[in-house]
Amino acid sequence: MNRHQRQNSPAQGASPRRATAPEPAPIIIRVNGRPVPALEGQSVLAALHAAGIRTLRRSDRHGEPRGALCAMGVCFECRVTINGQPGIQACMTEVEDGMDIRTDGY
Amino acid sequence: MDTEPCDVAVCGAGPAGLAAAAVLGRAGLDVRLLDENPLPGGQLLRRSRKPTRGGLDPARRQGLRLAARSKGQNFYGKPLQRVIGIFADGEVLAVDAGHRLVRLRPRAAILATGARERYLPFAGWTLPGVMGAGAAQILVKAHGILPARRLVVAGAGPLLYAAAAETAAARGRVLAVLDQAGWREHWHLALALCRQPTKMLQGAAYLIRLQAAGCRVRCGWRVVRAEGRERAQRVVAVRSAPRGRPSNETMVFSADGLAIGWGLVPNLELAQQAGCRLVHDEHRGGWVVDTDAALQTSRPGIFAAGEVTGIGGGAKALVEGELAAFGVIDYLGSRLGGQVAARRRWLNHRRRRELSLGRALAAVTRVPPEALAGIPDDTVVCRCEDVTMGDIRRAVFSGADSLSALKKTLRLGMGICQGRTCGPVVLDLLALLTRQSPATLPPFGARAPIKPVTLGALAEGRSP
Repeated sequence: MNRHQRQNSPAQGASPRRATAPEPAPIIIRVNGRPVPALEGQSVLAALHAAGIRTLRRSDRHGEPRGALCAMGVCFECRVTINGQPGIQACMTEVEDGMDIRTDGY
Repeated sequence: MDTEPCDVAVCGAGPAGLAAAAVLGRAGLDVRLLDENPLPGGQLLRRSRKPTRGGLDPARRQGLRLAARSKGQNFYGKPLQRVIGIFADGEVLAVDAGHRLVRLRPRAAILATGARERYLPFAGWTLPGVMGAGAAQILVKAHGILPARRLVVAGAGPLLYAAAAETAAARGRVLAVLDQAGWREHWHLALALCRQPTKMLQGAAYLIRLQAAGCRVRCGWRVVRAEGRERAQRVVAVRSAPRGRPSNETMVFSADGLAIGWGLVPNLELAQQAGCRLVHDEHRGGWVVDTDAALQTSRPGIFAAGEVTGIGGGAKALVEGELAAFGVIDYLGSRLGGQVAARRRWLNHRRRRELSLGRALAAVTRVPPEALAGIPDDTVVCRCEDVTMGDIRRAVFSGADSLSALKKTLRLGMGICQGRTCGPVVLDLLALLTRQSPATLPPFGARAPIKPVTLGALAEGRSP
């Protein structure tokens, strides 16, 4: 697990008096061929962000780097290729173990 | 696949949709609650999967109770259903997570499609690392991930403080909150909040937390530039001098994240596609769905509730959800008891109170003309089609005076987001550049499918 995630592990900040949900299971996704850790129930965007990945695609006309803007399914800036299917919104898709994600699309 | 009959389709499972579905369910109607997100609750109640009761905000607490209850009922049995249109014969089309088409034929519908953030373009706002304040909040609240190592929050409105305070609470470093609105606008908001002590308390709690975390809170400052190669590394802000006079006071932050937002705009696309009339009201956030007192739109049998009828927050959405449900029950010819009349009166009273808060919010988040006029020519405005401010200025100079004219000449708003991101701000820009009243400038139209869908889903209910 990388540093960003550990800083905010789900146990932290939860009141000890309150019942805590079971810890989400750690899984591995592949981003541009490289393994990246993720947690079950996370969005693809959250997993990529936690891994320090900000650039998710290039702009259509000028090829400028773009990352997520709204994170709520409106702006379509976070679209990535998932398991070979291009144009999928990273913010609206939950990670699955072994998911293959590519961030080199347009 | 067959069209499934039901009583009511509620589009959107945020506070308004949840409140409506709860009332309709209690009345014994067959309700379908449709939402594109994996969990009910919408943006306001978006939360971590660990239990929470919602803190100070009574609207959040009530909404979370409704969301928890909705999970046990069959109407939210299938999440991830994205509504793509409501047609003339009343049929509602949606697409589920497996790219399968969902076809419903309800006797009535409630549009509770909520709102999105309004963004003001500035140099470098397309750099990765620049995100909506809502996005920052989602990362930190729903996923427990810091939006950045060193975050600056800029724009206007109370959501900035929420995003900053929640990041600080998760031990994220928030360098500054830069609020474009001055003290005068905040004074009006404070007056409106006097009638809502819990919101006042929450605001105070945010400010105390930010103070304790060493975050600078500045009013009357606005971001003018994000700089960096491949991702945001620096943020430059200037002080807005009183009465629009230029100022050369600047601040530069070394930050890898910038969270922005200038209030909210309603998600009108489904209402527009369904043929519901809109009305312009600057106190409610610009263009909103026009409704009668029972929250029925201009299209019989289609009701609207929550932010789509005017930006006013979660409490207004809960109240309107319930009111719209009563309206639907009336419309379907079911009997409403005497107690319901009293309840409706009380809800209408609450609604007026929340609308006055909406007016104060609209004043705080209004984008000043100098901020629009100061957008440099090389700044991208339409992010999907890479249309710049210079392109827009030239098109307006050559005679383009409406969104549809800009669309035809520049492809502005014709990209994959269908004008959702740039549309609201381009309306403001057009009003300024062509000296027209915003009420005479219609927003982008919307047709089915209101969000992109694969041809496979439409053709045979399956993607390839």
